[in-house]
Amino acid sequence: MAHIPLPPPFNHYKLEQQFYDEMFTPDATPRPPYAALYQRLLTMSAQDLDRYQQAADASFLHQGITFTVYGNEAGTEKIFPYDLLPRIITQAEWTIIETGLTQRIMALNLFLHDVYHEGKILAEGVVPVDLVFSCRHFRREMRGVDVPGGIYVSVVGSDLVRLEDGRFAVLEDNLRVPSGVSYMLANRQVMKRIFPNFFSGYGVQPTNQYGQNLLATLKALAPNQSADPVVVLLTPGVFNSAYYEHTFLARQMGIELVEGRDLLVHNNFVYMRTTRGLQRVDVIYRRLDDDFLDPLAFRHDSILGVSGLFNAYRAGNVSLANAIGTGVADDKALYAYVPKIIQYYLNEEPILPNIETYLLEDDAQRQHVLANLEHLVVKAVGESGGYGMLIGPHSTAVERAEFKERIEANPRNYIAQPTLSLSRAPCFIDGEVDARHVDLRPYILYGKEIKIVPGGLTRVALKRGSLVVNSSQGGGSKDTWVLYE
Amino acid sequence: MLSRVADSLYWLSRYLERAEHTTRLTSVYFDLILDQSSRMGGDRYQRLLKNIHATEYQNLPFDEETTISLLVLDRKNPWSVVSSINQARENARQVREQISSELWMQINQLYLMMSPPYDAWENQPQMLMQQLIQHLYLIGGIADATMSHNEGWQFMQLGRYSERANSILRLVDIHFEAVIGRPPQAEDHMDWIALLKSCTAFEAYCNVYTADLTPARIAEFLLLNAEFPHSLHFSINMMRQALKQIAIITQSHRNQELNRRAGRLQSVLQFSQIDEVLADGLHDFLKGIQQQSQAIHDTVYQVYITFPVVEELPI
Repeated sequence: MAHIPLPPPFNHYKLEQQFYDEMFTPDATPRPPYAALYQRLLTMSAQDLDRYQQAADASFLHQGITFTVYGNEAGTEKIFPYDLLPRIITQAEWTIIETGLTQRIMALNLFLHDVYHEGKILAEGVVPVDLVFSCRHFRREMRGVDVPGGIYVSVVGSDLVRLEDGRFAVLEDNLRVPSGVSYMLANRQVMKRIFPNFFSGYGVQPTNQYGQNLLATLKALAPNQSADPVVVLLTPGVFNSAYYEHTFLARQMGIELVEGRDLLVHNNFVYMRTTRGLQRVDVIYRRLDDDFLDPLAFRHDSILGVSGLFNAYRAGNVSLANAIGTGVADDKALYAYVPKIIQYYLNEEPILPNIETYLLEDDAQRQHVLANLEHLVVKAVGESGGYGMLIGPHSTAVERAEFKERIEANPRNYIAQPTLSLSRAPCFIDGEVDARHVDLRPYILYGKEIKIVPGGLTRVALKRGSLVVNSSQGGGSKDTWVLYE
Repeated sequence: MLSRVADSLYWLSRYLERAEHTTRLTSVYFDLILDQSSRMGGDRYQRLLKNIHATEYQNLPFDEETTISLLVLDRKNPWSVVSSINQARENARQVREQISSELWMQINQLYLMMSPPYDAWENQPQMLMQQLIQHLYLIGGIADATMSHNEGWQFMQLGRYSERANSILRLVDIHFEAVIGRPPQAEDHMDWIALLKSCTAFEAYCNVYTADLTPARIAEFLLLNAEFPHSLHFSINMMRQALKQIAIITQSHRNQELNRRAGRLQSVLQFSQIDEVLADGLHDFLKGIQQQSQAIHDTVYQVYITFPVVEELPI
């Protein structure tokens, strides 16, 4: 492929035609929204950028904006690598993302209400019954339980990717306890501090209303329409990988950050233990998986949850965000049915496309996948964070043989997708600007209405050529600008 | 405020106070040994270890390098400066949303400064200690200037002054027992200066009594002076004040016992006379105060932190 030379600091930048480049058109001219940024970067040397990078890193470190890596004893606290160069999205692109996600979340919420009530979509065979009931995250206990306002998913982070042709597609819906929103907000803060002159005049839509929006969303869920409900954030505690985010959000909202041991249930009401005595709790934004919420109802060995919480919830005395059992709708196998789910409930065509997905319980699809493992990505349906994945083109024969065995032993537990050519964006890495694969996770709130702050977390696969953007697997992130018209 | 949060804030500032005290003691000790004759060293070192609960190290050589690594940098010694800082930071992390960002960042920076590698300090222990103390003063100032003086801050005050009161008690007790109990020596005055400096009290003492150092006046100043922030009386006053505020803010109906204990302790310090205290036995006096202060700590926990839930449930 012809290498089109660009001026420094882009002199090592490689455009590869099979990937959509966020900044450049295939003939190496900057796309219009990036033009001003590009001109600004040309006036800077790698040393300048390096200085800014160090300032940004120090700022994250001093603020203690860190996450915990599991299974790594020494130095478990790490800063989430931050890339200096912003990712830019136009208002036109954002409108598609916003309407597409609104449609999708609305439909998935209706789906959840349906499967935990009449189950019409299952009876009509649009979605196979087996697929739902065999899902590890399906909660029988939730059948017939009415949740406030019928809202199951209040806080969502959906993963989008940009395809070769520049369209955005949904890769994954995170309907349980999505994380990362604090990094979206922190990235913006650091960007403004480090590069005020980049920022001014660019017309970037603000994101810092997220805290208020989240609080309003949670208050909308309060039982009995209480005017001034007590909202708390339930964290697994200081050892959780997202603990920084929990403290950050609690501070943004001005609510108490509680652990399971701070709460107790009496007569189906939830109380927290304060220096004034016991105080009633109305809404719990829980950053704890279903399994650990209540040792009496779910995992008996959980010490993170609150005994009796599920009964208080079922009695309607306390609201949870998200509701229990939402994981059934972000199962990776169910994902394949989301376009049908949208059509079924809303009678609309999906605005954002899905990625083609092979369901391995189907004999024909499984045979095809097993024969083509080296070209496909295989994912375990219940996993997240980039764990339990096989990336065909980057795998060894041994790994493929291992996955083949696992798939044959439990086909329901896996799906396969074509290897995605995620779009690439310029990143400042090891003293030069180079292209890396990125995705986008916008954060959706569903209370009285659906709200999405313009932007999201752009995650970056920092290793050259890598497609895995998860922070636990060597990913980083960058600030995401949605421009005004 | 959540009971757990009050607990963390209390310990956060106790650990910071402890780190400051240990650093200052070590620093004063290093200063002292520069001037000392060879036969004094062992005694002073044993007193230092006793003061900071590190007597298990008494058989190790007491050269500068061992001392600094044990008392300042050793993560296995729970009373070392770095252990106190790590504990303080861990408590701060657990109440990250309750303290100001400015305070958190300063604590975090101190923690990062005290994370390996610290080669830079190896040959400059005094500089390290000065830096530490400055950092800790800064943290205290930031807490006062950037946090609401609400319930949480009052629990921090309570922690800070409880720790300080205990440190002073211990320091004075150990010092008087060792120095008064032995035959007078030419170097005695250096030990008395060191005692005052261990409480940042040398200059303040001189302002009140001139540089005329007598044990009774020193005891009076460190124990009974109501105006000097590193005196026992001052610390107890501050504890009492914090407890009163906490009771008002929480509208506590369970704090009569606590109020009585704190009031009684404050009265002891307010109305004691140093010549009587010394005549009746300083050690017993200090021991009595130590027990009362422990009882206050226990009662704070019973009232605010670990109260039985049954008493509070709605009928």
